Amino acid sequence: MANHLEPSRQARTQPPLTEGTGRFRLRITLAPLCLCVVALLHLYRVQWNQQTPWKGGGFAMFSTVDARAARYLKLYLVTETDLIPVAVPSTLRKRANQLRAAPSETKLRDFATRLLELKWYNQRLHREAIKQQLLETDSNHVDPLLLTNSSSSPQNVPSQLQAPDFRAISPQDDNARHFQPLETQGVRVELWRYQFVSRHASLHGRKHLEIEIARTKSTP
Amino acid sequence: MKFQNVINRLAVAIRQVARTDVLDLLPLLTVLLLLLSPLSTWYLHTPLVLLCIIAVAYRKLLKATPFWYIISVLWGTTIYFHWESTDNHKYLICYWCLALCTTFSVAPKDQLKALRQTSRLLIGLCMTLATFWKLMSPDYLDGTFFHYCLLVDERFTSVATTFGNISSTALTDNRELWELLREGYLYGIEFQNTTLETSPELGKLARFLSWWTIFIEAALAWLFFMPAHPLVSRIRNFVLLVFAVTTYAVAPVKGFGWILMLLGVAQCHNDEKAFRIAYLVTFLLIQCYTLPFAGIVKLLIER
Repeated sequence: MANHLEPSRQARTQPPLTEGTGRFRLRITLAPLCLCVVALLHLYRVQWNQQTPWKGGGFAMFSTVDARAARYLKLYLVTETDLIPVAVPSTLRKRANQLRAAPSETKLRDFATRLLELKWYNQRLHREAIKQQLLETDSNHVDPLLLTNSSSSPQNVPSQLQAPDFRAISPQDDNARHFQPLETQGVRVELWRYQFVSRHASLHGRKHLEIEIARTKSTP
Repeated sequence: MKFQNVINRLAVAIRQVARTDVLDLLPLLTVLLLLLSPLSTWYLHTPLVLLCIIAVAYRKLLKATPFWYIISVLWGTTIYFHWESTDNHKYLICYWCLALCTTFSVAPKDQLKALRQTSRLLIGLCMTLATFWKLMSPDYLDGTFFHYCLLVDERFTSVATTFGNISSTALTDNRELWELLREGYLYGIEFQNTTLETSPELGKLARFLSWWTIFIEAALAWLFFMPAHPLVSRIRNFVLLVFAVTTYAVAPVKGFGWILMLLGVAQCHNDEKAFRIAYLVTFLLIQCYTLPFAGIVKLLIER
């Protein structure tokens, strides 16, 4: 019985780690070692996975124009007659950021597929419908589910420009049934990247990746 | 007179804080830093805030290895899930929490030494990597990167207008063009190239900033890997303070500045109380840099 308890008692009374021992050295270098491992992974991802050097823990901030902001998405809904430009829906913002931070064909396809799953409605027509309802009925009886937040415009876009008409709503959203969705044939996603030419102080955008997915019969 | 009183009180408070045992002071300041750097995931942020509050109430926790282990895990998990938007200083905060965890796991008499060595390594590695990436970057050494920052990045507005001979209106126009290049397609304005407003002085300023930054970061990397010597120690403390005072005045990234100042305090020797005070003052100064000075001056003039 005494022998059985021996190891645990020994563990409890183990002398504290002191300077000069191997375990002490391991403890003090553990955090710097983690930093080195993450930095190596970051180096690999920047070199081979097109990851922006700014992200990923490699301490490459303020070293290049090629930050996540320099990689931007252009999204379009494909209809029978038109290509309708739309902003990144809030539900896909995280995926959009991942795609911009380390773009790949797989991520682009996944993003486009998810974009295709969303239902889109025309905000302007929707607002007009609410206005009509207000005129026809008592304003106190307007269905609050019909009112959604208006889309937020980018910070630096001139205020006189009109906000985009189309907004996404997830099919799983309870409010989805209140909206008249747009008939789309598919989606088109483009990933652009700009470079800065210091001599002319000019920004040059270039299409980096693109994909167009058509709606199949099985797609909801 | 009132202002003088405030300054005096602040000086006394800083001196008192600097006299406090580093192993009591640093965990407390770290908890403050953690509370001021919100995490993007609520289900990880909420337990972290609760743990920090409990630790402030029961100070013994601040010296407990499991406490810092849990904090590191929570912080690390958030980074893992949000790597695409996590800034580099949050990684450094995570390594710092891990350093506190390992420090409190060694014998009490060696804890200060352990913390000092770990902090020195963290600063050295961070500066080495920062220098490496700047040297490797195709658009850094010729000043392209800083030229771009001065024209487009809002954080550089005051430097660009003060030293770059460019109006704030021109910079606002530049930012609008930048935004339209990326988002203009939504408004039916689609273009691929655009020329920004600049000035010859901005190009020179950009080259100066590029070389100054790489010089001071490389110097720090070298100094923090040098073997321990009182003179080396004094020089590296001085250079780190110069780096913090100058860099964060131009680019106010307070999270990074704060964690560097904590690491600075941690790697100070016992006889370097003056540097410890200087790091704490710079910690406050970095916060002051984020104040809207131009707006305050304008308000005072209008009054």
